[in-house]
Amino acid sequence: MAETTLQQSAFTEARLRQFWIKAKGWIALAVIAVALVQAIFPIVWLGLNSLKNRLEMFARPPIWFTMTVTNENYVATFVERPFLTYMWNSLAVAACSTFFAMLIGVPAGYALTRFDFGKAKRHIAFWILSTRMMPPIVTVIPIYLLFSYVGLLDTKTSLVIAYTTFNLPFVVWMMKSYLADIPKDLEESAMVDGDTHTGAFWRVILPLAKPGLAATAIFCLIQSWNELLFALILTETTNANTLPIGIAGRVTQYKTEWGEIAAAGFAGCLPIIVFAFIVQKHLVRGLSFGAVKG
Amino acid sequence: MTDWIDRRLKFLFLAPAMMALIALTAFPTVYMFTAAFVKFDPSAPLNSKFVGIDNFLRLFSDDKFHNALINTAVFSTVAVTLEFVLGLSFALLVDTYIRRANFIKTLLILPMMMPTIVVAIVWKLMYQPQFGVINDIFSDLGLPPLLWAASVNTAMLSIIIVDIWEWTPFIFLMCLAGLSSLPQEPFEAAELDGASAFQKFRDLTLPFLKPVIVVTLLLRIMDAFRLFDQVFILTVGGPAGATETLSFYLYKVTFRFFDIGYAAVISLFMMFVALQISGWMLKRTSLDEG
Amino acid sequence: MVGVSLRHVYKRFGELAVVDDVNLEVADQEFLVLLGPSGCGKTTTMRIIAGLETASSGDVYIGGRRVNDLLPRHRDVAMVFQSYALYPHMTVFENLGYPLRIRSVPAEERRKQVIDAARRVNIEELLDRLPKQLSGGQRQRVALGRALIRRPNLFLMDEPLSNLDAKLRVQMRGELKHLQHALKTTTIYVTHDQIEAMTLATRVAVMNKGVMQQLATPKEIYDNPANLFVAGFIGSPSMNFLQGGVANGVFESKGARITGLQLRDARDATLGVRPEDLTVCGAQDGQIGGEVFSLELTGDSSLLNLQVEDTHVMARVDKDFTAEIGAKVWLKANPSRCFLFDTRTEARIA
Repeated sequence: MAETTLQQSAFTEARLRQFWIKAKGWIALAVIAVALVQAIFPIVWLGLNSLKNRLEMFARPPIWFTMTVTNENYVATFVERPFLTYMWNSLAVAACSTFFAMLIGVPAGYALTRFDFGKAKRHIAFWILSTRMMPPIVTVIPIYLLFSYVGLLDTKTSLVIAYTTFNLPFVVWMMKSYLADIPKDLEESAMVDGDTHTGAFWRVILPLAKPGLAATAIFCLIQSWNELLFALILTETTNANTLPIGIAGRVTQYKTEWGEIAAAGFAGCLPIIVFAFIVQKHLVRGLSFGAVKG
Repeated sequence: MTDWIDRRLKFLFLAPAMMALIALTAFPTVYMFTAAFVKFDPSAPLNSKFVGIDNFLRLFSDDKFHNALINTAVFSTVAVTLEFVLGLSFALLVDTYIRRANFIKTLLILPMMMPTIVVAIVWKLMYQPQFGVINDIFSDLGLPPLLWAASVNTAMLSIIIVDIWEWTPFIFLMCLAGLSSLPQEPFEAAELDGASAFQKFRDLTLPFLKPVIVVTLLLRIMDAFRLFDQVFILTVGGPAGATETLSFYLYKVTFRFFDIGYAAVISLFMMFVALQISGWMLKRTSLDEG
Repeated sequence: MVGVSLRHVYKRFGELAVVDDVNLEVADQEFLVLLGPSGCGKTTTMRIIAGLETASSGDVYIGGRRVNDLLPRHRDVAMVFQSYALYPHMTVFENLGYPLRIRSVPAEERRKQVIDAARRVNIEELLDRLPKQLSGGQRQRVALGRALIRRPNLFLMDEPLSNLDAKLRVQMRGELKHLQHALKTTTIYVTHDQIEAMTLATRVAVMNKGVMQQLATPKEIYDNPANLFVAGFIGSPSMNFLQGGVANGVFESKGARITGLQLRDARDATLGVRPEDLTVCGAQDGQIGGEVFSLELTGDSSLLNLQVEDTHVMARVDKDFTAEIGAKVWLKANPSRCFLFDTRTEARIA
């Protein structure tokens, strides 16, 4: 009889388990839905508000979806202020700094993973990592003074230099992981076959590292595009003002024109959203890789 | 000629990066060390007096500095813990259902990819006590409206919520990636051995996830320590210093009080902490073994 | 068409000598196999010859020229890696053509040579495929083809067959031997599989812990091992070893007594005798006695595993031989087929 009771409870447990698995499916769905909504909501809200006129924004009881789709906010943003110039500046700076960071950083990452540096390697790695970890506010004044001294203030060049040094440690760190995954045999084979090491790097290693290169470059671009503090300190006029400055400028004024702020903000993040979807495959892969490899 | 390059590849590949980093980190560091010992007078910049370790001693007596320290510590601990609990739980729950959905994952990444200024603006808008959407929803649900960023009591909470919104998806996705790379067989063996779901989680999942968790944790702590942008836009350190983090306090000392000497000391302090955390991080990741 | 010379080559990592005073003279067109267990230094030695590692000290000569300071690409060596090292992002055609492409061989000529090499290793139909679309055996042929295409002076092969399944391995072994004979190229081949060594090599260099144990033809190594290690490493199933002592030409150990030995006396001696040199006999002629531990039928013969005191002795017996597990069986050994080693130094003494 004890045997049957054991069997019975095993069966009930099995049935409970099946029920739980089904329930879990629905719960998971709900969780994902909630997560998506809360992630997107603020952005969507911003977009909606950018289309409202002043009356609607402050209406009581509150209006959620705009009845009158107005473009006055966007007109104010793009026409009255050189917003497009800011966007262009951001784009140029982001692209250049990413390019240079990759140019210098990828070979460095390769060197760290393939060559033996003995004890020094640990120190080099530590130092590169700590550069990335430094709070930006800490280096702002010295950098400001430095650029002021060489007359580079308020130029896109100064931003490019600054952002390249931000992106560099990141590039080295990420590419080191990616490149370590490519077996050493391949370039050794190429070298025995008659290629130079540099040639092997260019013809064999880099093509295989494309996913890693893409993900790293994408993250660099985004980080550069979003940067606020150094843009704030190092730039002043439309020569070099970047997008975040354009948006920030509106907030720190006395009269907070919420509609225009919403428009500026939304316009500022729209490129990122579009870009993110274009490169989503690389983005997700890059993130996952970072998780697994640290 | 190409042989010459090949033989020295080890250095040629690494040197440009090293030089660039040295060039732009050496100067600030040296500057910081020298500036820490002077009292900077904005009206007569060249007449800075040498004041020895006065600036350092000030760290101990400066209430505002202590306040900033506490704020930063509170923020880091609370925000990161909550992000972790939420992110990890959801990852565990959702793991098997979301493996391939790139679209969903991309949507979830968006918060952390937004320019921080836009994030700050949006939440500032939503947090508005009179016409912000959050209080609207609250009153619809019958809850009392809060002052959010405008009140000393809720300001820090407001900032924490923003950070959670921004970064929980990141932790969620990292844990998800870690979970999807777990090997199947140990779990099957444990199942046959009679392990319950909880036991499998405790004895297999958690240990396997440890590297991912540690790395993500350290990354987040580092970022939380450096928090600036959101405070700058959303609360401007207020009200009454309730959200003044270390970075923001440093900003004030530098750009409002122009006390460069003291700013240098605070900077050195922050650098020191950053280096410590980097050290821990290095030990934990593959960077160590090269 | 060159020889290779290694003179007093050392490779040290800190305190550890991974390659310990290796001296090797490889003649032109010879097929030399470096044989040994993993970690014995054979692969490192080969990589030193290729130029992928530099010797800590000693001289390396290829074709009479000292190459210590020469980069791999100038040594005119071709190497087949254990992992094949095929370039994953290139097609088979591009993989084969790579050595020619970087030497700026014009496309038309390159095409001819690629097809010719592909034909030689039977992969003409695979030229448009990517490595990931190929089976293990096909990848191995591509690796081989890429090594052939340059017609180098020297072939280096690092355990090329170890990733193949058993049947394919036997087949490729034959093809490799045939190919080498046809091309008349000096080849140095690394493996831990003694069967590969015995079947492919003109001479075998047995290595252990960085030190070369013996350099001789396969037959010589089999019939005349220089020490305990070589004796035990060659031969499948491996040689039996009994520890004991010799007095008046009689070897005594626990459970064994073997007469008629050449050597008169040796205090601590280990006797080695191959399973195929032991025969079952009656108790009166018996020299080694024990209980049956297991009996395995291997097709054309059987392997008898005898528990003798606290060791096991393996003997090759007739396929129709039967015995119960635990039964007492006697074996006798041919004294001229017995080897004696000093137990301490492991050197061969008879």
